[in-house]
Amino acid sequence: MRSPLFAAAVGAVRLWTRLYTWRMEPALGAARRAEIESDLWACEHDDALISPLSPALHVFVRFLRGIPDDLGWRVEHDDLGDDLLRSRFVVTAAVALIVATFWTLPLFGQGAPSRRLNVLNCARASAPAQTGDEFRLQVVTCAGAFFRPE
Amino acid sequence: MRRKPGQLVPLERTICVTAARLRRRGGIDFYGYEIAKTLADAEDRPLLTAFGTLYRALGRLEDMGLLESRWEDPEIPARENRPGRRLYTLTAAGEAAADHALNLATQPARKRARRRLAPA
Repeated sequence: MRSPLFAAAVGAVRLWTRLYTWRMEPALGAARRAEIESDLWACEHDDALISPLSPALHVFVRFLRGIPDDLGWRVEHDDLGDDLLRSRFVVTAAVALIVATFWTLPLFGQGAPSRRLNVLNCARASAPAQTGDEFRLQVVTCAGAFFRPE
Repeated sequence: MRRKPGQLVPLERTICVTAARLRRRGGIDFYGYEIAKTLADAEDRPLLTAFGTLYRALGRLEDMGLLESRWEDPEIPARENRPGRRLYTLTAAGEAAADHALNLATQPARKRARRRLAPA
């Protein structure tokens, strides 16, 4: 089992994948999420991976560098329809990305805030969601972990 | 990167070439993480290809008919307690694209060598 930082990076990738596959053809979106999940699992269990970065930072960098292609892929399979929906998608993606970046990056420094670690530990303990409802329940549960008394 | 229809970008060419090499070593199928790692090893890169870049390239190669994909038998990941893998196979067209890419890569070197060997 990897560190809480690794769980944070994995959580960011999962969240982002959920976001850019949002409201697309269900089979296509599910296939992409399953493929990313398989990659994350292989990365987590690959003890032979040699990298100058920590495993968590490695995943995070792979995630950040792939964002333009994720968006490009989504546009290629675009079923966003009207302009309003498309602009909503772009704004939501941008906001989520900024929040995820500012949320995750400080964790790579020293002395990660313990409340955030509560959330990360919750995310790590959760199995990947199979349905939208399960995912929403996990988000609410782990958001609640932030307010758990010290 | 803007592309002409049917033309491969460098990453896609490299994937075809690497998949062809894996095949010659007996690996008929490969999965995303495996090819990312093989690419990084072959090019001596410290980082694996980004998630989005890798899976978009694999998808394009499949759309072009150079790769085929299928999900592995669900019993295998269930037994090994891991998520299922999407397995890719190089098609005959993909193998031809890999040969073509290899020829292109070796041509300038051959020309340079010929020029050096040619009598003055």
